[in-house]
Amino acid sequence: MIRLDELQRRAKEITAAVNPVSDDIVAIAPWKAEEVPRIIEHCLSCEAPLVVGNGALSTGVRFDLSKLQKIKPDETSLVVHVEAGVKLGHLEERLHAYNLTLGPIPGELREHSVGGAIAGRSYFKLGRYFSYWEDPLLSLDVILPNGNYYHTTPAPRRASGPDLTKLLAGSEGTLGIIMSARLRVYTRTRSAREAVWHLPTLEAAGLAARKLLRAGLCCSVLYAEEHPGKALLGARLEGSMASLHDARLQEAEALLGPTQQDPHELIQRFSTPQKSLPTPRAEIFVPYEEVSAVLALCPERSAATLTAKLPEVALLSLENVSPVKLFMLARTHRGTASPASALYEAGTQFGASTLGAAYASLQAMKRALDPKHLFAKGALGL
Amino acid sequence: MDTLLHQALLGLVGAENFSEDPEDKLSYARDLWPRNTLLARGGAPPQYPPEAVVWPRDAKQLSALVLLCRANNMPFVPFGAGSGVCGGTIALRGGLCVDMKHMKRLLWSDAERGLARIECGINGEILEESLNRRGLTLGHFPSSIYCSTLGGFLAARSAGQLSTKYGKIEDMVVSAEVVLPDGSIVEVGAERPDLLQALVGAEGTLGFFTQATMRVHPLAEERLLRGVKLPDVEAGTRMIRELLHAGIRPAVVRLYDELDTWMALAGGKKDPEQKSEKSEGSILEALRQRLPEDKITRAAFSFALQLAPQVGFLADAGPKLLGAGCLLILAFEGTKRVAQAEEAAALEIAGRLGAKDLGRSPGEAWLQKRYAVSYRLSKVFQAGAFADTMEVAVTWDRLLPLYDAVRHALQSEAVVMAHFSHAYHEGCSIYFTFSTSAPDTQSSLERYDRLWKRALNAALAVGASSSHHHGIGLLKAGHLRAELGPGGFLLDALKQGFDAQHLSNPGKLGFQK
Repeated sequence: MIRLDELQRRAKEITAAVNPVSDDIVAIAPWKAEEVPRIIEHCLSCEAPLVVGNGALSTGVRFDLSKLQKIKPDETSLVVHVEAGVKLGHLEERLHAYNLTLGPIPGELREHSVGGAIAGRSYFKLGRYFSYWEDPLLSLDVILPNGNYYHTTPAPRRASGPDLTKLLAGSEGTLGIIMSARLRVYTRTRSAREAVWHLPTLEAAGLAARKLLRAGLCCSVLYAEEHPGKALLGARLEGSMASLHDARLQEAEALLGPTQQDPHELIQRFSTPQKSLPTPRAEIFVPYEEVSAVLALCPERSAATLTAKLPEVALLSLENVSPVKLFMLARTHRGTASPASALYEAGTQFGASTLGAAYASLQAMKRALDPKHLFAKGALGL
Repeated sequence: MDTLLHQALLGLVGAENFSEDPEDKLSYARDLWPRNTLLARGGAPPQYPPEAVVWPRDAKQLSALVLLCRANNMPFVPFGAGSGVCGGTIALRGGLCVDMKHMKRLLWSDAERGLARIECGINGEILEESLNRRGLTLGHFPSSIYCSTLGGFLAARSAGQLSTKYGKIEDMVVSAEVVLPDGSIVEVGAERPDLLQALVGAEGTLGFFTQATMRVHPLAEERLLRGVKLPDVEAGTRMIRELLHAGIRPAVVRLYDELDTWMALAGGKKDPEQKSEKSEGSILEALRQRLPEDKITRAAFSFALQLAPQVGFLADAGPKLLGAGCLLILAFEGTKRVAQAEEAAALEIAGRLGAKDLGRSPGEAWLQKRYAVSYRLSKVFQAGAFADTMEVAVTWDRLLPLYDAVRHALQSEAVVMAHFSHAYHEGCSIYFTFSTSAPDTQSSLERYDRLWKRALNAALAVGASSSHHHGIGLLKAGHLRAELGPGGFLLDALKQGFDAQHLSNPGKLGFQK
């Protein structure tokens, strides 16, 4: 039996920011990370379901971690230890004081909190400067469903069993609450080269991007946009040694032809929040060669058609994550927020249809970890 | 084995793919974990032979085997090529040893997409050669490549010598077909949460890899090898860090500490794997004079030093006194233009840090013999001593404390040398080699266990991982749990979800029913 009034009373002894939202939901916004495990201990003893942020919740505690704002850069390892409530755009601004940067941030990510971006795995779209396969997330600090604080090992690579950091990232709070993370940073660049190519279609732009990546030319930005009758592919190469970018840009031009003028505007659009576009958006993870097939669902690019053909999807642009697949970002034209578990990957709804028999194992794992389903109940269909 | 089960297994895989021969069971009872080599040298038979060995042909057959095992509460243990060094394939609870080597085909490759679909029992070297014939490379070159499989790479999170450019195996895998412990066959890829990365490194405790889609790359147009010499480990690691942070991604980064460097260069040899013999006499004398008082240590030192001309293990202090410096081998590969630009940029940084350019020969010599080191350990054991290697990783800010802590933890009882060979933006791994000896098997085992405990305790205290690319197996199970701390709860839940009966490679990663 959940006793929210009792839980409120206990939480107020720990932190001041406790507010009833309704008869069934209490909002708690802790001031310090140390307060959270103590509050969660009470949630567990009261068997109160809990979520972070805007996750679905019918009764229980809604945590707002936005007051957790500490950052601690490690300028030797080029890593920042950052609390979950810091928004990526704000983190970037604060890093500048240390002459550090996360790299170019896709516009729509700037307002994401670190915790939210990791829980939903959108952090994965942060730029990679020097090699496409590297993951910007080094380690996590999480509170597990048994109330214990778990710090994953901040080693650059491990062979110490399964990668629990990657398992937790993208688990949308079902396996633990992300309190802080270590993310890769770069020294702010002293030089950069930008380029833009005009291509006939978005698919052609995607294939051209793959060509660059396959040649080992990793770009901090690789972004394609569809325009009437053509597509633009923009690339940004940066680092501390101009001679390297020059060589890489020459290589890129050898592959794709001479670059066009004024790439900067396109690159800027990558990093600018596109407020005119409705949110939320859906994201699909598409192999390059399937871009045409997805676009063919909606030859006229109308939101109505796309909404009907590929639920929740509308205007399209592309961002690289690897030479194998890319993200197709699509903003929904629907007024209501889609639950995170309704995100689409490769056009298939997450859940049993994607994971097949492994889904049952995932459910069994969730039962073992959180037998009363108190953490992010219902997210990911678990 | 129960007669009905025996018949059922035979019926499933056929007599030619099933064995209960004592020779087979003995062969499959151990991998290359040096502790078991010590036991074998002492004449002890393997403690945990499997009850039978099977060679399934495909995922469907493996799935049927797993279902049969589950119905009979029989453990099943995966086996690739047996080159693991942590006891990861030992059949602790008996059961069925499942040798995956029949699943050995390169199914397809697509140069445009940069992908290849590969069965996981394929030998590492054969896979690479097959890809090379198609103008491609996986970019994965562990020193065990001749005696390894793709499934083994994935199970233990393997790393190759070109990892700085191409990544570790977990960076290369895009998706995989896995036979889960409930017998289901699933394809795992980019789902959320990331089950693929939960299965990679699970060492067969959560399922068996049968096929994988891997990233592949065009063969490099150019490969440029270079050797530079730096004053010490601190300067060497700084140079690697600066290279990585400047955006240079060498294919090979190998920094040898002073001892290793002296071995490579003192006799005019340019290859760190080809140890100098001519001038070892003088260094041995110098080292002997500095031996500690403890008799056991003196004996171990002397023994290791006696072996030095053959196996290349020397004490720690001498090379520093002799000013050996540290050799750093680099390779740059890719398109000609970019490889040349990267090499030029690296030499610019090297010049700024006061490094001496040794030209191409150290790297070229290393390349020729790059897999040889894996085959030297047997000579140490044959000679009555023993040795092992420990690979751990940490962020740059803790790298030198890690180097010092582990050496300090081991030096009273063993000769320790190290190289730094897998570098990343955020940090680097250190590969320690320690060698020593003891009068008999029992005391050797005690010393072996004590050295590992000390070394891993020291590494974990600094914040390092318990393994970078050898995996956990039985050797490091306790330290894995220490590294995970409260995270062990999450790992155990994963096991509960995938294999509540604890039949899939039982006892590894510290799983206990």
